[in-house]
Amino acid sequence: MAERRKGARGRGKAYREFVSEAEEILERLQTDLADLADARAAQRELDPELVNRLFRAAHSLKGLAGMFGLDALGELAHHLEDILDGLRLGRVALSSPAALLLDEAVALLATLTQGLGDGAPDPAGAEAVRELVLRIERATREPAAPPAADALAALELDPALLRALTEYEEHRLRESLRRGRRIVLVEASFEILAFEEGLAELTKAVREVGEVISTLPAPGDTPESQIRFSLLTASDLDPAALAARLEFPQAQVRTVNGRAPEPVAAPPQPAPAAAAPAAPLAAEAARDDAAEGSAPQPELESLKSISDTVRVDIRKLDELMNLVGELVIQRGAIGGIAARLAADPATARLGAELGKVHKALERKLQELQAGVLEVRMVPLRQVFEKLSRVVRRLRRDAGKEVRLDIRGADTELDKLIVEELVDPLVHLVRNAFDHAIEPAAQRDAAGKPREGTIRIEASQRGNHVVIEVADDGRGIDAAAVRTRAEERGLVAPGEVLSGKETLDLVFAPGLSTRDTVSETSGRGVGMDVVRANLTALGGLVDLHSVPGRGTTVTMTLPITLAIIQALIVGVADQRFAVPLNSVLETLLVDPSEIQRSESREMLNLRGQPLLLRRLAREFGLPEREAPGRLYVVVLGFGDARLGLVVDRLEGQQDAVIKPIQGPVQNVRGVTGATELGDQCAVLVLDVSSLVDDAVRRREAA
Amino acid sequence: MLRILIVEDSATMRSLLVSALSDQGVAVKITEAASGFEALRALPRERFDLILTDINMPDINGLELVSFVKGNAAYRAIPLVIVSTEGSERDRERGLALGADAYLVKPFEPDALRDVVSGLLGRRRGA
Repeated sequence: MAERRKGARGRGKAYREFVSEAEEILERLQTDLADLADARAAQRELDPELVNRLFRAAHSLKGLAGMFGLDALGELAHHLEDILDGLRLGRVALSSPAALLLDEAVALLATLTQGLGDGAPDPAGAEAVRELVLRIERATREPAAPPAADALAALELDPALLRALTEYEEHRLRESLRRGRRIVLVEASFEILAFEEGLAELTKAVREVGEVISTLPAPGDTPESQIRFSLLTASDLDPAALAARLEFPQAQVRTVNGRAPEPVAAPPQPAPAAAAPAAPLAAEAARDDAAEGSAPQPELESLKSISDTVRVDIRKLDELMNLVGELVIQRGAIGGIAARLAADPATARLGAELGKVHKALERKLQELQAGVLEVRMVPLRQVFEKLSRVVRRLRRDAGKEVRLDIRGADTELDKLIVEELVDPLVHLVRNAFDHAIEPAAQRDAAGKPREGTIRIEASQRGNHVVIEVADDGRGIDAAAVRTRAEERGLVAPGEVLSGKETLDLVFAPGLSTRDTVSETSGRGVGMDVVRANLTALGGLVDLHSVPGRGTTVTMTLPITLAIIQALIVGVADQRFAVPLNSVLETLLVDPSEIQRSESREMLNLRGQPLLLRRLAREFGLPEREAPGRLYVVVLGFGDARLGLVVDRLEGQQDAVIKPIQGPVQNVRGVTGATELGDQCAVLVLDVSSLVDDAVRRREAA
Repeated sequence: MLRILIVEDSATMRSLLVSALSDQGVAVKITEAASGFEALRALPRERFDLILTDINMPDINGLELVSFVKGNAAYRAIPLVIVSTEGSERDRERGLALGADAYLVKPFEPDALRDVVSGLLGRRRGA
């Protein structure tokens, strides 16, 4: 033991992790114990899940203490576990002495845990543990109840399933049988890579009608990508009534106790009159959907009609979105035909009629598109809740007083975007917590409230969602950023930068204004990664900071990835859409300003050479003969720049991106097609490959 | 390279398992699952050479995971070790009956863990 203890100290990081996890477990123990006391005070029946949670907490603590050779802590946790095990298995009643022992044990554990950080075990603590352990042993010395005649054998359950139950689950099963409850298996299949949400819904629905004793996974029989779950459930309802009231249409309910046993003890409450009479008749109910003409039929019907939600794979929605895009292009063609017909006097009337039909089609298509988009939307709430857990944890670990203020959690975004937002948001919040918010004493001295605030606010603006992460901390020290950027060679010493340009350096790769990266915000992910993540989503990130007052990071995101904001440019008689998030600026230049060297064309842009590419040449279109001013669209992708020479700029527009089928599919430089309001399909340029090619050619030259 | 899946709800315990297993002189890639559910999601993504699982976990218990792995043709062959606190004889027997290949009691000595693991993997390679 002594040796292991030394080893534990040697494992510095593991030990620190253990201390923080032990504190977390204690916090849970204390909260749950308070709930238990409330239930006792109100003379409510004990919630088995609460007791089981307490048991698991004590159990985990015992295991961890053992790994670090903390004998006193382990011993006490073990005895606490014993009391709780007795409670959850119904061997010990929650009498006042037992409740008192629980309180004392948890309080002493808290004292011992607080001492963990200092390293040296407290001898007085060990003495207190010995004394308390003796008392617990005296109180729990009753012999274990002999196992009841095995009621479980009578259940129609796969033996492997029975074997997979823990002792506790088995106890709950026996206890349910003793109370005359029905045992059923509620079964449903889910996509294996994303089953949790569906399973959580199913579990919630089943809890409305009974107690979930155990959740058992099984390989799905058909497609391999599926997983099947069986929820072993005890309920006062008979299976048919349970099936009827279960708000989860695709679940199947299988009866497990072939016949309702005579309750050994009276059930705690008489079954509600509304429930079907507790007679064997229900036994086979709902077992077989094909049970023709027998009693279950009406129940099954009501089972089908009871829920009005369906779950849909997001890929299916993508397919629908693509179809809508295709229809939009077809509609454009119809519009063209209508216009041609209308222009010819011989068919003008027909043209006008077709024009009307076309208008109506357009409106319906817009509605359809909006409808499909709406289905993809999910609220940000879940991500925000995760952030609040992060802050709670940081607060505990760092002992800093910081409040998280969340607003606009109901704002909705494309599910795919929401998933990608988690990491950048966690990073920003950690940054704010770690670096921005000053220690309480410093805040006091600065006349600020001791408690710092991190505000996260989401709101919708047109086709975009804006998320702000703001703190009331020390603000960014622009001078320090500048110095660091010069050290890293990101800025020349004499170069004049505006305040905003200086702050923007924070997003440059490899720049951090702290020498040491702390444990909490560590991981080496910087603001450059946050910006890259957001750019990949077609979003923008902006930073605003006032020294001494705080920093606000503003992220602007498209509501969906299926629609982008595009700059429409024209070359010859063609038009192209350029995703606006890659456009840095547009210039009007005189052809004489363009310098040629070998086959390349360059432009001197504020002292920096900018490589040019003519869009007409890329796509083999006629180049404009008449000399005149040219438009250059400056594209940026990462650090690379490229000037795209076009004939015309035609304004900005929202565009639905649709993948292209057919011969154009693999053309480099094109990412998809979109349709503009005037019924013409245009190609959407793939900025990353255009810039990439240009850079590669330059390097090769 | 050895691909190992660790299923354990305690972050500390996961770290300890990871550091014990990383210390074997062979390249290992360790996937950590903090719950049975995470393990179920991880399984189809990668071909694991070894699974270590705890028993007491919040969503599905370790025995249920064993039953799933050993009852599934796609995963049955993966050696599986139960690493659980204070081996109650009942869980040990049941785990082994469900097909677990070994049972290790916490607190474990890193060496004992490594012995069990190399025994299992050696056996498999030899076979």
